[in-house]
Amino acid sequence: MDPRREQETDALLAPVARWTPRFIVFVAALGAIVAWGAYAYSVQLQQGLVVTGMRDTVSWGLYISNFVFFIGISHVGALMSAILRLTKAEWRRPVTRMAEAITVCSLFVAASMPIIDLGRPDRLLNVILYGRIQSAVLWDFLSISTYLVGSLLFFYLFLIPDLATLRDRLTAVGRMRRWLYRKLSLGWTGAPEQRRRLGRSIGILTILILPIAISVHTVVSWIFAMTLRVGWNSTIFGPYFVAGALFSGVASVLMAMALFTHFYKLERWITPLHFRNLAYLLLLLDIVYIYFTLNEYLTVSYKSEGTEAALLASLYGGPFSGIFWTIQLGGLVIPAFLLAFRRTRTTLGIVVAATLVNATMWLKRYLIVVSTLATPQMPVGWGSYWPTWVEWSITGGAFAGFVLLFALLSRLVPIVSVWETQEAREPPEGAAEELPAAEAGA
Amino acid sequence: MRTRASWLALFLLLALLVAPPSPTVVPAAGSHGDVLEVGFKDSPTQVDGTLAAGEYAHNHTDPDTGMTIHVQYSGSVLGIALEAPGRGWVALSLGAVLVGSNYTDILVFAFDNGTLRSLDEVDHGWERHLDQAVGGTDDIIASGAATTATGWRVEFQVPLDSADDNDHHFLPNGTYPFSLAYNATSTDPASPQTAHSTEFLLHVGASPEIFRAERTAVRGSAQKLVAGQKSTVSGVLMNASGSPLPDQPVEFYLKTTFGLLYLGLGRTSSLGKAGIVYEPKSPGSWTLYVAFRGTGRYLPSNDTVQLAVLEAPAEAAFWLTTTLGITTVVFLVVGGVWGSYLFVVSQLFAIRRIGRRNVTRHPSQKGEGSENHPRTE
Amino acid sequence: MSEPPNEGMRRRQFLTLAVKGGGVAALGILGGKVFIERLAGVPEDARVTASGQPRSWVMVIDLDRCDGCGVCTTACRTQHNVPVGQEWIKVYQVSDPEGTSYFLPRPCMHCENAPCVAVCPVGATYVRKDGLVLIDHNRCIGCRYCMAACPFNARYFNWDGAPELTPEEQAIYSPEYPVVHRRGTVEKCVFCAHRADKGQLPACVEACPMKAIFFGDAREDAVSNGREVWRLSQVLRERGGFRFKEELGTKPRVFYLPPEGS
Repeated sequence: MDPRREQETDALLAPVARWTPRFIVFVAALGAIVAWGAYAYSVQLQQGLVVTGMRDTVSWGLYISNFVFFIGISHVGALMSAILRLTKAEWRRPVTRMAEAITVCSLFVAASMPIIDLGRPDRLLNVILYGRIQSAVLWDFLSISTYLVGSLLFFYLFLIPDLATLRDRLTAVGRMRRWLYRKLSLGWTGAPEQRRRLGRSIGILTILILPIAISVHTVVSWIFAMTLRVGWNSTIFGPYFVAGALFSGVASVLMAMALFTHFYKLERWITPLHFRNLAYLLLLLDIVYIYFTLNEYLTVSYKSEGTEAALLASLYGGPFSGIFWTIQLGGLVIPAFLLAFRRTRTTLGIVVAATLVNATMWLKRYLIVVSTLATPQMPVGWGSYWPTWVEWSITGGAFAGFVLLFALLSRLVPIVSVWETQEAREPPEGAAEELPAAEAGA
Repeated sequence: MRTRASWLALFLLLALLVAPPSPTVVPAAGSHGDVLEVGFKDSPTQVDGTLAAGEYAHNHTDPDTGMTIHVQYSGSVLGIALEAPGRGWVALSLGAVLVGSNYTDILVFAFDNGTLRSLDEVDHGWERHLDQAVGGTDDIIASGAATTATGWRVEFQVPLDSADDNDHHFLPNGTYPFSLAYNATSTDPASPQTAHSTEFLLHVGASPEIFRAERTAVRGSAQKLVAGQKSTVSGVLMNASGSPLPDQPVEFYLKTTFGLLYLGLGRTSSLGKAGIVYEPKSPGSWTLYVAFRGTGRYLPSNDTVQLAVLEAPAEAAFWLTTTLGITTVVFLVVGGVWGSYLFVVSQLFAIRRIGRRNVTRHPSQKGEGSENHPRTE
Repeated sequence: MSEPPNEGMRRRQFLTLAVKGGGVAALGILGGKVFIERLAGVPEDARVTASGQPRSWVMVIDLDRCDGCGVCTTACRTQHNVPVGQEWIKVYQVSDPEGTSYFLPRPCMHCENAPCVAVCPVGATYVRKDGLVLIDHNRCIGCRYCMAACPFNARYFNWDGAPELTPEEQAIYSPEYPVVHRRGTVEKCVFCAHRADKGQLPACVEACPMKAIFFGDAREDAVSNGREVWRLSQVLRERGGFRFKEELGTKPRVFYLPPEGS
């Protein structure tokens, strides 16, 4: 291997080779938050769901909002890896693994959320033993488990050559990790036969993962759309949720890119070009999402049918108006402006836009769940919902858990795919002409 | 010369001598001497335990027992309501008609947990027997009861002049003694009374007609009907000798889980047949009551028939479609995807096998980064 | 050996494959049949009339008679030991746009096309053959999807009750008589299924002092409030009986008779 490539590989493997003290502290802090969330859940198990703010009118709250949110950001793996791969967009190479890692981590957290929401989690097996295929929850169960296994396989397949690299080059790490790398790299030597088989597997999964991902968020949306509730009884929920998922997924990748580039010193591979391309993608998805939002709200408002009128009033000017307008303005309009104009489309501007998008998309999921349930169906007053410390703690634990999984993953395997980056026929645009001196670890 | 007035007076005197003595009995010593006029009403009572306005002609509250008796007669039927302050049995005892006889007609009623027992008995001094036990008949035509705020109330009908000699016979212009008794708590008619009234008198005035009421029989026809289709259910009303009774009302009821459902009323034709149009809702075997309430002349009668209602022919709907569709799609799609996963895993095992083979053959080939990349197109 | 070893082996392989395949196929068909039947919801219960026909319970509520006293709610709560905060039959006060105000008692509608039954992931809530929608509290996982699906807010969740039943309580419990409650499951009005099975009227029907609630079998076309027996089809036609939220298509089994003069 030529020295330039060697240097590149070393730089990319540096975060994996050496864990900084700062990282340990970070992990410990996240672990503490997760532990606090676990404690809150134990309180809930002991005393029942009465410790939450949910009651008979608003019977779903933060947990289901978190579930939909994390399923949403899980779409980015399919988008980045599958779509960009199929369209042969070469600039994707440094960021695909980040996207796939987000998918895997968020799916695990997402799958735990409905279980935490259950009144009788000890009877979880009933879903398998007595499962009814006519229920949207069963479709969720099947599609999420299929997507989880698929995305794990997807992630792993692209990891094998890098695992082999880790096995060969990283001799200074602990025995456990070396054993892990050796076992998981499957004796990869780059032999033509192996390459053929891996190529075939990757090809199959690339094609499969996209419809699976789309089906996942579609069936999650059908949990809501298959009911007769105002605000949920909409025919466009499937595409609406998929568009929202891609939207918040791309925003998550942008945030992850910004953080990793800064902390792992990956400026050479993750360049302003990547930020710009993803910014265009984010802008495009923003416009698509605005289009769906207009479809949803304009058509309903125009007719303002009796039952829908109460919900709309609460969204436009009532108890939920603060959240509603924050989402539309802060999450759709402002990011669109930030991304559309070159002056604001700096790396900082893009990351700010992405953060705004992600934060408001979480609010949007909350709004979808709670505003509909709070709207009265019978001739009596509105339901109200204020999450309690248990719900906030578990939510914090969920987000901390996601970041923790992601961070640990980024220190176990290189977060930028080494072999894919080096496979590029030409160096990516905007890459530094000179190789920087080999870093002593991030 | 005798005037016309004196001829009239003589005739009247003779008439008085010849007229049969009205069968009265001198009131027993100790009675209050009250006479309760029974009173004629055009329509008979509704024996449902509640008092409608104008249902009874007269009533009397006995100061000794606190019981109230309401009376009327219509045609050949005597309608009586008794109200008692307690929850136990009540009894009406009708005094002897013929001098020298030593029995009284006793009617006993007990209301226990929603079930009314009506007993037509005869009292031979200290012993009481059911009429039926001593060769008579149970002539209580109808009875009904309801609880009141302070106690309970029974309404019943008996013929003024039944064919049973164990019963008291009421004749026009007759005055008859009777008394009331009740037990405050026990609904067992064998238990002794806790209060009784002294005797007082019932007076039946002259009325348009009093007949010994005729027994009737109504026979419903058991029919085969089809659910959802209208057809006629009918019944035939005849008297005891089998001749049809025209222009009488016959009511039809269906027995349902929670009570009798009124279906309708038909008037009998010249052949004694009455019918209504009925559309049964669902198939099966249903119990139909055909009832004749009775009028002044005729005693009520009823009949029970079983209606067999058949299923209406319907097209069989294939209602499994949606579920079957979902299941098929899900299993095909999910099966296909997981099958692909299994294929990929098999490829991974193959890669590992090749890796091991290569290691044993060429141990020096490890670690060549440039050859680590799979062929991806 | 009469035949070459290869052929013998092939034949043996074929035979074992055939036997295995046949066994699997038979199992598959059997399993498929059971599975399809379970999907189709063939029930284990069959409450029938005296003539052997399955019942079809309905309730009729005369809004003209209801005076909002709430005795029905109390009687129901007493009958089933309903936890505090739940009202299985709930009386709403409704005001017309014109200004007339009346009371609307709302039990569970026991819909023929019940959305709650459709969405339950484990089949804990199910429709009995006589039309009653019941809940098996031994199976409910507390996901509360049925509560989100019910358009009438007729379902209640046990947020803080006893976590599990004692063996004695478990012996009393049945979906028809959910008189002992456990935390983490959904519960609601059951049309007093335990009473209906014995030919008795539900507790709210018997308790109503205005005799405004009627209950009966639609196949008999008769409903009773304990005092009167009305012909269902006739009273609905003559009084203009309607179902609440008819346009949603859930086909509720509770009919309302509008108050006079409306």
